[in-house]
Amino acid sequence: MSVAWSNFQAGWDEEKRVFTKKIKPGDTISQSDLDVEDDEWEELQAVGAVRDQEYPKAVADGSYTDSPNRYFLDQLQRAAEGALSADEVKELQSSGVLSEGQTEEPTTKATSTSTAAKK
Amino acid sequence: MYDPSGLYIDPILSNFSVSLPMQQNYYGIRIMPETPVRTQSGQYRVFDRSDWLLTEDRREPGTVAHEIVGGKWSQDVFSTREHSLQVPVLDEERQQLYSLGGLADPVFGGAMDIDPEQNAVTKIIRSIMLNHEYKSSTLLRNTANYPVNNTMTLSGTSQWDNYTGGTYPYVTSDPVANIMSGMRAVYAATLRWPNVLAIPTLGLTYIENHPRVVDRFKNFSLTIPGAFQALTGFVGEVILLDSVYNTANNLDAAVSMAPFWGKDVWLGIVDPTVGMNTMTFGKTFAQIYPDGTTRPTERWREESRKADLIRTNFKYDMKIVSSSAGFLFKTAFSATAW
Repeated sequence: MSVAWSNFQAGWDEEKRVFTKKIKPGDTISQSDLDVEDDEWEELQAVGAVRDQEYPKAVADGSYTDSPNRYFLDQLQRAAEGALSADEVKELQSSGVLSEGQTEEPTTKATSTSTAAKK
Repeated sequence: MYDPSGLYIDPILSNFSVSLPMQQNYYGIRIMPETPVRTQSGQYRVFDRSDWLLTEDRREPGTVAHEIVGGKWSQDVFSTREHSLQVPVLDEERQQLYSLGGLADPVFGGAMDIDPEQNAVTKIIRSIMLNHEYKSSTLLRNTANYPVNNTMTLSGTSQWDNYTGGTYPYVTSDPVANIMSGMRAVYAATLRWPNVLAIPTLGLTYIENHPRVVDRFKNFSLTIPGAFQALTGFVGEVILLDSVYNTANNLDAAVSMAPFWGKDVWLGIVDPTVGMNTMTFGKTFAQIYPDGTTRPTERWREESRKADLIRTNFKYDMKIVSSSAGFLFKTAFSATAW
């Protein structure tokens, strides 16, 4: 499944002379949506406008207003602090930013925090 | 018998005359201006919409005023790395230049405008800046470095070199509307109009001749000042991107020149004012060396090699400090446009 990492215009209406479909970052996208040849589709994948990687939901819905890369950086910072929820860990892992076992499960956070507090 | 004509194919000196132009323009440093810093690493000011929050400012008698955060700092840190290259100036090279029968001999036309040390520095700076250009173009051309509303990828008939549909208003692609939508996106997020539009040089001709642009143009003289700005609706500096590099990994491989900026167009806010408080899309944090400069050049003698060594250093890191101050048009022109 391919995901848009940029805004696209699609579905040109000859009568109205406008693009009728707007594909946003995070939407699924296919070659037929854009009506482009194989080589152009491959180019879009090569330049990163279309990826197999999921687009972060928080960036797509506007609740996080910066870029995906900044979002991942912030989340990795929070992961280092053990402050991520299970869903956030899964999102980082599914997007390939965090590998399995690279962070502790959120449930272990309290333990490590309390250990630190005892010291 | 000694034949001075042999001097002209000397491999060392040939490099000066047959290589590509010694300098070309670099745009990464213009879009990501240099910000001198005194530490190797540190946090930096970032700019987002937190400055536009409405904060309760009413203070009742006898109570403490509400506090607001002074400024937003980055979660990560810039971390400057040294980029350093050196070039030997060989004694043999000097001999060829200045000895009797050499290229600088008046018998052969007088002193030539070749300064080995100056050339060495020029070559070093060129190589260091080529790398900076590569890193900055990679950073700027990545859609993952922009907020959700700040990129647009053009494909097929929406690309600016595609005039499908023919004349206005039937032509499908629309650079004017695209550029204006980019300007609106930047303004909506920053309350400032973008002041730089960076276009590949070869792409400019497609825009100037685009039916939608020509239609805007038909009632005006070609000689009006700032014609391009009037045509596209963009008011600011138009940078024409033409920097290239050789993708071959070594001197012996076949030459393959590639543009740094591809078929993409960048629109955004650039403020070269030095300082942490400067709101601009991105910065090149350059660490200041003990001599007070950011690019010192050193020189020493190596007797065993019979050469003087020239070395220039540049310690920097690049960071995007306000991603919403930029807008990227990905593949604005088709792969076959040039």
